Amino acid sequence: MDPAQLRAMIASAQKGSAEAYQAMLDAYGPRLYGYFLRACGNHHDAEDLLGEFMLRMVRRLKDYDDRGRLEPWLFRIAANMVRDRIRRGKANPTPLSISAEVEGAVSLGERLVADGPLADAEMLAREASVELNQALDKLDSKTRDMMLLRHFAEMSFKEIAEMYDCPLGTVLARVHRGLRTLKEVMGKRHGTD
Amino acid sequence: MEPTERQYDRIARWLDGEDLRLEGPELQAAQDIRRQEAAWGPMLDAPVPAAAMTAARNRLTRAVARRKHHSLRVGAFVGAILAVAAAIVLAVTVLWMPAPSNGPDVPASVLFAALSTPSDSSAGGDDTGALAERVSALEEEMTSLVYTPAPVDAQNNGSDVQADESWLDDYLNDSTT
Repeated sequence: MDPAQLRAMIASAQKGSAEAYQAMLDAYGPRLYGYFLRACGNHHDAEDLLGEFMLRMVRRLKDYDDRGRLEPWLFRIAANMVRDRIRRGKANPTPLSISAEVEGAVSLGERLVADGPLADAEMLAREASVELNQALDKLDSKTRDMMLLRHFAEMSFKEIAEMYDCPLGTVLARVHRGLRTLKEVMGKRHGTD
Repeated sequence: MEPTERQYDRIARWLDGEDLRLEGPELQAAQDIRRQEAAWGPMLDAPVPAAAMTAARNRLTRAVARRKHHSLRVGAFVGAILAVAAAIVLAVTVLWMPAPSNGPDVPASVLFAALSTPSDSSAGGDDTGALAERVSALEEEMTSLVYTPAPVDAQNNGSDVQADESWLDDYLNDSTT
């Protein structure tokens, strides 16, 4: 999206245009979802956080002054939400039971029918995604967050350093070590390292 | 070899696009980080389930609608406060308004009663009759009030009294002589 278009979209959203907010969801929703998924490690939390994020954005967009890039502003909110979620330990995936006797639970049978048959490639992709989440879980939360912000928010090291109020070199050192750990963990799983 | 904090700082600035000259281990580390980031990036991406986007869209729609509704409610509330404030200002002005210097001295209660008289133009024939009666009553009340003369009239009245008194003096003088 070119800067003029983006500015217009933000301005209309600030005036309360539902269409502009929907356009923002279309533009940033997938990246935010990816960030939430990798930061929390499960789809349930990622979906819940994406919905909650949109509510916060509606409340806070009026404070955005349009002087800097939008991504750092958006992902700062997202990062705070993830931090809160991890702090509260609110990882409550929908309870799964064999017979769905528990109120609000989904039976294993229902889940399998709803998911439908998975193609081999899709199955492998899901497996790889779960493995990656497990590998990311080995990193400390700050390092993981910095790596994820680099990718999903396309933030520079300087922007991340400002966000975490730490020296530039520290950010890069953490990201570098994080990347190496990820390579080691995933390498061990597949016996390539 | 692990770069030092200072070297990491220089590498970070170089990776952010700053025009710096890196050499040897610094350049090697910078290129390694760039390569690794490029390799891990696509693996981190994950497709968003349609249900997640739909759920977010629904929450967003509700939030925007709620916000609009909230703005309208705030507007109505502010309007109501302004209306009350205007009514208070009007009442205070009427109650403390100084009496007119000429013309009949109409008490504030009468004016207030006149102001509070319903003026619904859509009222039917009975209402119009009642309104006419009310207006007549108010007119009677106003005319029965004590007439306070204007300063000019008051001065004229004084001259008349003086003329009357001097005439009486003349009459008394004549009758004694």
